[in-house]
Amino acid sequence: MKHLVAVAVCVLVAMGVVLAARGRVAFGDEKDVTGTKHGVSIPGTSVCVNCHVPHDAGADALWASKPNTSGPFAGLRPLCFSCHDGTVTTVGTFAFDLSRPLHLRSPGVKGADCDRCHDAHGTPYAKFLKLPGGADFCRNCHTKAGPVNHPVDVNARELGIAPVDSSWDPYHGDYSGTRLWNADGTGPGDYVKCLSCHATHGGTPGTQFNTMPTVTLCQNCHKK
Amino acid sequence: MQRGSYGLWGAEHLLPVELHKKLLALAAVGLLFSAATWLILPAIIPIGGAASGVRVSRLVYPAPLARSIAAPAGGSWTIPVDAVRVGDATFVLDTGNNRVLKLDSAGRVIATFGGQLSARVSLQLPMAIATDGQRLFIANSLDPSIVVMDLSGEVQRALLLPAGVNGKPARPVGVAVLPDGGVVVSDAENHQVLRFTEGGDVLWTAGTGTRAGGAEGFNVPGALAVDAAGNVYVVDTLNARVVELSPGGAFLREFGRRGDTAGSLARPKGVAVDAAGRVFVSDGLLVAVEVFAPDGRYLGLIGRRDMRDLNSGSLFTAPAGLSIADGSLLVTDRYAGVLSFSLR
Repeated sequence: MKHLVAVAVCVLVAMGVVLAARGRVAFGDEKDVTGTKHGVSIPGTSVCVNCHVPHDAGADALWASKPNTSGPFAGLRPLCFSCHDGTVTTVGTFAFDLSRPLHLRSPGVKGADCDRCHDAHGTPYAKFLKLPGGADFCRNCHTKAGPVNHPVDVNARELGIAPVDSSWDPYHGDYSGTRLWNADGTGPGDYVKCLSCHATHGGTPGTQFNTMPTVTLCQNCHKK
Repeated sequence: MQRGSYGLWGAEHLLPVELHKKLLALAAVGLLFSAATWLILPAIIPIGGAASGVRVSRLVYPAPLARSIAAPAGGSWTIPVDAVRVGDATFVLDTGNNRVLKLDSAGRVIATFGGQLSARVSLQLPMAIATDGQRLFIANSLDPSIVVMDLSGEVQRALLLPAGVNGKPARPVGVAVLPDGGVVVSDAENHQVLRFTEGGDVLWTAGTGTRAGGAEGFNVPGALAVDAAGNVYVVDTLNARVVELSPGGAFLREFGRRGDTAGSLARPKGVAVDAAGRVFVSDGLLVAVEVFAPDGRYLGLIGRRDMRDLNSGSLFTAPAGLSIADGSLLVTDRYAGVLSFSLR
């Protein structure tokens, strides 16, 4: 009998080790949040508890609660908004104006919600984006953009083209304008990029995330 | 000691019979005690304070929804954050449009204060509003100041906030008015709370200037409230608690603990204190307003569709600012509008 119990305990421990290892890989816990802008804990304390609640948790997977189960505010959005609402940070607050279009997402589906593009645990790229590309980030998925549609990565000013309205500052209520970028798409410059005409957060309602109503958008650069 | 012929989980010879019997007796006593605590006591003791006298679930607080304004008549708002009531008028901080809306008792917009308020003052991401009954005090987060205006929107002055110990510009996100006319302000960027005199001088500062916890400081202080004695209640956002400070700025105690079940705090947003000393805390992730007794006991939560049923869904989407006037709790929800609950 004692031998049977010992064997059972050994098997259970081994299964636990395997499951724990699989969990670490599956959920990306090996990433270090502490050194990122999401490392918002008091030095020396856990950074995880700001989003994952190990005790008194009422939601799945020890996440802080996600009580809005349907509608435009469902899924991960409440968790992101609970800091990006002007209290903990002002960064990206405009992304939560529900009257403006937002890139397609599946609320609550892992990898298809806000985490389709962002990984809050930290990435090598700016804005916690999962892939590189700067202002051409969209092309990681929308590969047909470029030679088929409107040209991107072209120097507009060399072609004698410049937008009339080149400001777009949603932090101050400016949701209109065509922006030109540097060659890397990391800051202002002379190049046309995806984000010259589109905004995945804060676009014009009724458009494909355009920064202006469609006709106005074209004429902002292609003056008649 | 006699060896047992059976043990826990049916394994033989693991525990002596006497010890096994004692353990079973202890478990039975524990079960009876749990049943008394969770089932019997709530049925015979009215939870919710002597003021209510209403017997409800131990988790739902008896504060019926009196009124809700999803959108103002004759106008609109974008992500409103906070509101206060003065007489028949309600002043709503329309944060997404950088302005204040003045509503009449029917919820109609009767005035708008925003844009360039004076030669030097414009609202830029205003995050909190407070009143002394004669004036409005607005935490202007991206132009680090407290804008003071009369009830007709005329700017009287702007209290400028100093930079933090590391040179970071302040970012005021909470404001409350003290009984003596002084003003307390939370600076989320520098993790501190500042107490201004009515003349505009800084009387004291609480917090270390960097992220901290315990009795020493805050990790993103947010909304503020003041009780009749001048004690200051601070939403300590990322420490998931509310801190009570003395009128002199000393740490007195804390409310709440981290979690996302009833009675705990996940992302506290707003705070208010009524004349009886009850502390109300809105939580953006719990999607409710939680109520604590003056001694810190948890009393229940407000905001369920069925006031008697914890699982009936929330009336809120993203509850934020709280204020109390004339026996009502005013909750400003960034997406659901302004909701008023009766506390009588």
